[in-house]
Amino acid sequence: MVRGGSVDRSIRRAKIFALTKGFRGRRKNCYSLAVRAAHKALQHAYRGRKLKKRDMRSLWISRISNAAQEQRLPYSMFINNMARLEIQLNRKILSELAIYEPRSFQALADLARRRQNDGLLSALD
Amino acid sequence: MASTRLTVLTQFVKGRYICQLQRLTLQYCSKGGSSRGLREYINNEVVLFAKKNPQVVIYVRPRPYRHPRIVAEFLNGKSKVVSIKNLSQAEIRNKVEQLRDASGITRKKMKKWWHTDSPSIQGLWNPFNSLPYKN
Repeated sequence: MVRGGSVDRSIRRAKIFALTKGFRGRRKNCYSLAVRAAHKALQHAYRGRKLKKRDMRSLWISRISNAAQEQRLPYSMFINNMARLEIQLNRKILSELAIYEPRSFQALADLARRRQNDGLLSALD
Repeated sequence: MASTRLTVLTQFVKGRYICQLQRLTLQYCSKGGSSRGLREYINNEVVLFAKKNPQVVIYVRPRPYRHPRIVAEFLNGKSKVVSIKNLSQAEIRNKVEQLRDASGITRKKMKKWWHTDSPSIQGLWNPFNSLPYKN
């Protein structure tokens, strides 16, 4: 007589196997291995969601920094003067402007430079 | 793709249409069964076509023991080889008229592998974008 498992067990295991699609070797099909692989994958996903935000911001910053250097401005000066001028553009948008609308970014860099100079002048007075 | 299209457009003078087909070479076999349609076309209709389209130069060449072909050469230098194996006379007539109406531009899928609702207005950044500066 062929005995299968209980229905609950199959349902429980199907949820794990749904998570392990595309995994390598027995880790996608054999429950004991799949359980460990699935849990590790979920941990990676949890950490990755937080890392992604950090990584994207650092990518944006490095792009803005390079674009500002092309306009002869260091990143710190550029961002500082954006804040002083109360220009609410965030780093994501600034980096996209630098790529897709370079003239607009150049205009922003000129604004930042002028604000920097005005700041220096007013400090001297 | 864009450059070939421009050369075709320059051939249009004051809105007049210029047939882009320069040369047609009909290659037939006198014995083969696949050439039967072409042989009928050559016997019956090719002279009529040639008279109606004086701008096209038509060569009829025997090519023994091989399947029949049409080689079309266009004004922009591109050539197209069309196999007319086992086609009937009417189908060959259609093919020939298709070639006469065609431009020589190689067919290419105009698919873009990206999509954006907000394409770049000022143009993508390139290394020559920002002006060089003297330090």
